[in-house]
Amino acid sequence: MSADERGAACHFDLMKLRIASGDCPERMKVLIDSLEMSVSDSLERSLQAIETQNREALISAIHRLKGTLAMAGADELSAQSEECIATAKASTDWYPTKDRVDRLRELVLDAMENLQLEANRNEAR
Amino acid sequence: MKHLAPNHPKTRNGKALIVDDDIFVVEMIRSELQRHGIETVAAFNGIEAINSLNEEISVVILDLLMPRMGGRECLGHLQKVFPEIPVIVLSSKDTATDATNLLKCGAFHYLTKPVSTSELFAVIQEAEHFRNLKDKQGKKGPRIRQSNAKQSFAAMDATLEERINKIAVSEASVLLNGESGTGKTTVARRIHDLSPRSDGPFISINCASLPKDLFESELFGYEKGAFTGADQNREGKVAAADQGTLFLDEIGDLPLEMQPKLLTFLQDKSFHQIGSNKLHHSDTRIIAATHQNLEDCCRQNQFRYDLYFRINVLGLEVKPLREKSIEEFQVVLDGCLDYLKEKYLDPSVIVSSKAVRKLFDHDWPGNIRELENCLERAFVFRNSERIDAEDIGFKTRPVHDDSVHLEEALERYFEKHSLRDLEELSLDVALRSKNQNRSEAAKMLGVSERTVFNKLKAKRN
Repeated sequence: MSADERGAACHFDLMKLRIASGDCPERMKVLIDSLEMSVSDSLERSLQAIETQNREALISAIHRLKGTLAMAGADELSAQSEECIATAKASTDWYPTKDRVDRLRELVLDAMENLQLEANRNEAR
Repeated sequence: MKHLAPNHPKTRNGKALIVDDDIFVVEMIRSELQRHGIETVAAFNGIEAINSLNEEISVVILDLLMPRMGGRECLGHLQKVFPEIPVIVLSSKDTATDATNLLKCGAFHYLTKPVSTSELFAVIQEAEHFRNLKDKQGKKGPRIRQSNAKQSFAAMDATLEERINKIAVSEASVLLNGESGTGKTTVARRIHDLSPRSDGPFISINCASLPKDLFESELFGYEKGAFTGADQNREGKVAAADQGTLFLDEIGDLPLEMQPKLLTFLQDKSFHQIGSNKLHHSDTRIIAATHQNLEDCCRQNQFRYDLYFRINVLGLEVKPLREKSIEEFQVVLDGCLDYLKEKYLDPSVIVSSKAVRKLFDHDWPGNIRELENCLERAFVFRNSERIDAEDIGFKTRPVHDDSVHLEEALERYFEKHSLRDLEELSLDVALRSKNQNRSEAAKMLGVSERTVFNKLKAKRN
C-alpha cells in the first residue's frame, strides 16, 4: 500500500459505531464524544512524554491509543500506532519517534474531524 | 431515523461491571451490552471497580493495563471479596500471555482487543451459566455429601474440589493423572455430576481390562452380521454416553491401533460402527484417567502425541494419599469414617488422635482404596466406640521398601507361617483390592479364575 493509499485508509468505521449504538442518535453522540475524549487524552499524554523524553510513558500512551483506534474500527491508524511503538522501542534518537508521532497525531485528528462530519450528515438524513 | 432493533432483547437480574481506563472502550462495550438487555456499571481503574462491587454485579469485564490499580491486582481483590463472580479479562495481543496467566489466578476467560461483540456476548452467557451453576452447587452441595459420602470423599480436599468445580463447567476433555486408588473414578464422576451434562449418562470403560480385538466393538458398537457371532446390532459405549460423559480409565493402556479411531471421534464427535458405513454422531464429553506418565509413553511411541494433546486439554493431578497434608488427610479419613458409620448404622464411632497419626504416617501404596479397607477392618474389630492405634493394622509395606524389605518381611513371616498361609493371604489381598471380583483378582495374581475358585473352595473346607 502506498503512502497515499495508507493516508486514505486512515478513517474510523462509522458503521461499526452505528451498529454499536443501535443507530440511536443519543447513544451515537455518547460514543463519538467518548472517542474524542479518549483519543485527545492519549495524544496529550504522548506529547507530554515526548517533551519529557519519557519513552516508557510514550509507549504506554500510544499503546492505549492503538487500542482505542482498533475498537473504533480504524485499523490503518491502529497499525500506524503499532509502528510508532516499534520506532520508539528501536530508536535511541528522539527525532524519528517524534516525527512518527506527529504524523500519527495529524492523521488521527483528521480522521476524527471526518467522523464528526460524516456522523452529522448521517443524522441529518 | 429508524432505530435498529436489539438483536437479543433479554433482561437479566445481574449487572455487568466494565473496568477500563479508556472511556471509549467502556462506552462501546456498554452500548453492545445494553443492546442485548444487559445493564452495566463502569469503573475506570481497579480501586473504583472494588468500590463498585456489590451483589447486583453478575460478571466483571476487566482491562489489564490501568493506572492506580491494574487488572492483575484488582482480580486478586475481586477473588477474595466476591469469588463467585466470573471475571472476563480484556487484553491487547501483546499482553495475552499475562492474561493467560490470569486464568490460573481465577479469571473466568480472557478476550483480546478489539473485542468482537458476538464473542463477548457468548463469553458473558457462558459466565452467567457458570455463576448459575455455582449457585446451584451451593444449594445442593451438602445434599450430595450427605447422601453419598463414599462418592465424594476423594474430591473433598479443598484444592481439588475447587479445580473440579472449574473443570465441570467446561466442555473440554479432561485428563486425570494419579496413582492407582487415588479416587480418579470418583473425581471423574464428580465432574460429571457438577457439569451441565449431569442429567445425561456417565459411562465408564477400563481400557486396561479389554482385549485389543474387543475394544473397537465395545467403544463404537457393531452392526448385525459385522463378524461371526454378531447376531444383532449393538450400541457401543460412545453412543450410550450421548449427552453425557464417557470416562476412559487407564487410557495409557489403549491399544496403539485404536488410538487414531478415538482421535477421529474426539476431533469431530463422529464414528463408524463395525460393519457399517453410516456415520454416527455422539455428543459426549471425554474424561480420561491414567496412572502412567503419558508424555513418557508418547516419547516411547506407545501413545500418540496428537491424541495426548487432544485429551489433555484440562489436566488434573490427583495426589496420592501420602502426599496430602494432615488436614487434607483428615478430610479424606472423615469421609471414609462417615461412609462406614452409615454402612454399619453406628454413628458414635470416633478415631483417636494416635490412630489418626498412625494412619497419616503410613505410606498408603494402595491409596484411598487401601485406607478404606484398613479403616473398615479397624471399624469392625475395634474393642470400644473409639478406634485406637492398636486397632489399626496394615496389610502393605511402605512403597519405598521394595524387594529388600519384602525379603526381610518374608523371612519374618515364614518363622511363623507356611507357604500355604502366604498363598491364602495373597488371595485375600487380591480379592480385597479388586472388590471381591474373582476374575480381576485372578488377573492380579497371574492365575486362572478357576484356580482362584478352587483355592477359595479349599479354604472354606
